[in-house]
Amino acid sequence: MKRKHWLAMALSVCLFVFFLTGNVGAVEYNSMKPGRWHIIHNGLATTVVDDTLLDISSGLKGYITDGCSPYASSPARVFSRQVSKANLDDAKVFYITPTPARWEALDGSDDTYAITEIDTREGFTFSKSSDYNDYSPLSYKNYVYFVRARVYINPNKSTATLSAAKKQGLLVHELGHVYGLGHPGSSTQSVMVTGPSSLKYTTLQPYDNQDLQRMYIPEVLS
Amino acid sequence: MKTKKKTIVIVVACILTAALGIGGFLIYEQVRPSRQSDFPPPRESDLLGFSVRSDVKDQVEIADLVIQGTVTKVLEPEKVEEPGPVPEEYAEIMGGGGTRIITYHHFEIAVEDLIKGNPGSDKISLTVTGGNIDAVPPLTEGTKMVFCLDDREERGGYGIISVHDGFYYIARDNKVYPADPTDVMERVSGMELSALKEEMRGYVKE
Repeated sequence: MKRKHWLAMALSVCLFVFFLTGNVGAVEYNSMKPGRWHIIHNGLATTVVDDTLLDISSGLKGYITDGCSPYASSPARVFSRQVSKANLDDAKVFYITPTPARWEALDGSDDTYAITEIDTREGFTFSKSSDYNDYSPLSYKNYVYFVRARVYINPNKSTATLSAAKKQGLLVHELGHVYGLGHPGSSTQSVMVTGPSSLKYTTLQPYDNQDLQRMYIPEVLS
Repeated sequence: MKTKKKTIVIVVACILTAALGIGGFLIYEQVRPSRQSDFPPPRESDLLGFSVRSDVKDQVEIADLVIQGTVTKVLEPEKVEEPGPVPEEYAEIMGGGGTRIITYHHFEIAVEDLIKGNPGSDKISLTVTGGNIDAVPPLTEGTKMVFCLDDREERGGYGIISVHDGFYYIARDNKVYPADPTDVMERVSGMELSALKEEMRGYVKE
C-alpha cells in the first residue's frame, strides 16, 4: 500500500474518532430553554427541527436529529460475543417523552430514567441486550445496519431535579446504547454503568472510547 | 457367622450415622439464623435502559402502597395488544408506532400488614410488564415479602416501582432481606421485620 494511502487512512481515523467522541461528548442540555434537548456536533448546533412536532407530554420534548455514528460491539458483560458491526449513516436519533400509559407498556417502573430502541434496516427493533446476541444479520458483510433509534424518557420521572451535568450523562448513556455499548460491571469507570454508581460519569470515559475504537476502527478500514 | 453379624452391625451403624447426620442437618437448616444467601440472587434487567437505585426512604416516598404480604396466586400471563410508544402521526418518521403485544404478568397478594396506603381489601393484584419479569425477584406462591408498589389507577391493581428495589424477602425468623442487596441496601440485610416496618412508617409520616 502506498504511503499516501496510509496517510489518508490515518487522517480518516483521526477525523472519525474526533467526530465520534465529539458527537456523544457534546450532548448538552440547553439551559436557555428548560426541558428541551438537542445534540451539538463539534460545537455547532444541528438540526433542531420543528419543536412542535413531538408535544406528547409535558416536560421534555423530542427532537429529530441526525446521528451519524458507527456502531461497535461492546465487550461489556451483557454481550457474550461480538455480534457484528452496524452502520448508522443517515441514522436518526429521537428523544421522546411518551405518555404514562405508553411508558408502562415499554417498561413501567419508576426507577428507569430512559430506555432505548434501535431499528435495523431489515425492520427488526433492538430493545434488549440479548437482541445483539440473538439477531441474525442479513446485511452485506455481516453488518447490522441501524437506521433509527428512539430514546424514551420516563414521563413519571422528574428529570428536572437532575443537574445539567447529570442530564447530559443520561443522554450520553443512551446514545452509548445506540452506538452499541452495553452495561459493564458496576465498578467500571464508564458512562454506561447503571445501578448504584450510575450517573457518576457524564461523558465518554477511556473505557468507553477503548470499547468503540477497539471494535470499530479496524472494520471501518476494511 | 461372627463375620456376618459384624458386617450387619457395621452396615446398620453406618446407616444410623448417616440418618442422624442428615436429620441433624435438616433440623439445623430449620432452626439456624436466616441469611441473605437463602434468597435468590438479584437478576439483571435486559432492557437497554438507565436506572438508578434507591434507599428505603426513596422507595417509601415513591410508592403508593407499602405492605407486608404473601404471594397467594401466580396467574396466567395476559397478552394485550397495546399502541406503540409513538403516536401514529409521528411514527412514519420516528418508528415505534403501530401496535405491539405486551405480556402482563399478574400475581395475587394477601395483605398482612399495611405500612403506607390502603388498598381497601385484604388481597391485591400485582402486575409486572413483560419486559421486566426476568429482572424482578421470582414471585412464587408462598413468597413472603414487604412490597413497595405503584397504583396503576385506571388500569387496575398495582405495579412495581422498580425492577430491583422495593422488594424485601421475609425469612422464617422474621428478618428481612432486600431482593437486591446493593451497597445502599446492605444495612437492611438481616434487619428485624418490625424494625424495617417502623422505619418505613417513619418516612410515611414525614
